[in-house]
Amino acid sequence: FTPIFYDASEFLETNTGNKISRTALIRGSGHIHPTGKVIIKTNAILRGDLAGIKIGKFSIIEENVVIHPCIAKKKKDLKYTSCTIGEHVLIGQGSIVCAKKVGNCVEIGENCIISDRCSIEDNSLVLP
Amino acid sequence: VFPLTMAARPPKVLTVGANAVVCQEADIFGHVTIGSGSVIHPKCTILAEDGPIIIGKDNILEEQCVIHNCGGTGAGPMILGDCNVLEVGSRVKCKSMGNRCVVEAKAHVHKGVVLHSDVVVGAKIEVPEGEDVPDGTVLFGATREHNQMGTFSQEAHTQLLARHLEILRKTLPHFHHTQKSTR
Repeated sequence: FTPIFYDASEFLETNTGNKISRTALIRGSGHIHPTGKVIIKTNAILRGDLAGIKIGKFSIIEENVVIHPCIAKKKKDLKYTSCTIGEHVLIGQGSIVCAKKVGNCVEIGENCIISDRCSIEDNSLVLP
Repeated sequence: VFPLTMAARPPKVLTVGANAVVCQEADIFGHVTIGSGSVIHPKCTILAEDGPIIIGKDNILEEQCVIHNCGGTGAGPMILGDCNVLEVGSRVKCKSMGNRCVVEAKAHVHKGVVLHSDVVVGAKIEVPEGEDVPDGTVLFGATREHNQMGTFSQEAHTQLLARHLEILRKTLPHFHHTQKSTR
């Protein structure tokens, strides 16, 4: 593993060690729960206003990623369901994640599209 | 990522229909009319560079969408119909789009294309310049195969969309400032 160097002025660091870029668009921060040591890079878009987003420890969300919780049918009604991302997940640049659940230790390549209501199991690789 | 230069951005003249929700972070430039009931997510870019853009009713334009009227100087208006869904990251430069179209994530519709109604442009598809896409076509696959949607129900789409729009119109204003018409 090569160490990733970053420009400290560009990132905000929280108590639990999350490093969140200043240019990331984070809406509904009350609904977004990164559980420590998560890196969110520039221009990422996390739409917590639609539904909750949980991001596990040590995950890296690269530039221009869009995490957009999906809408699902629940008891014959549409509702935005929360998006759960596991630990040690690497989401490559430009990807669009509308999944319901991403497991632990997943590597999502660059410019991938993970569509609505997907469920990605642990230890998978999504190729670019 | 997005081929827009800061220099030549036309001034914003925006007309927002009743009940439409246009988030503050949506970048809108030029002469744009947004129909009633439409929902524009943040980080969407609507660039009426060479002519006005008219967006119909009840559309959903998601994040990182780029709608660009680049028909050359003196081009006519770019018309998007009703009940369309432009998903995350799509880029639309077409001459016109009908009703109930779905442009999926990261698709790129080039200029001069005429999309008729009920067209589904699959994810990451590039629709080449000047193509005329008839009603009900589904564009998918590496070879851009066309497929007629025989049993597609238009009512089902509009019903689901109406419910989706209701939810969006309720939740988005809680978290975003919205843009109003200029004038």
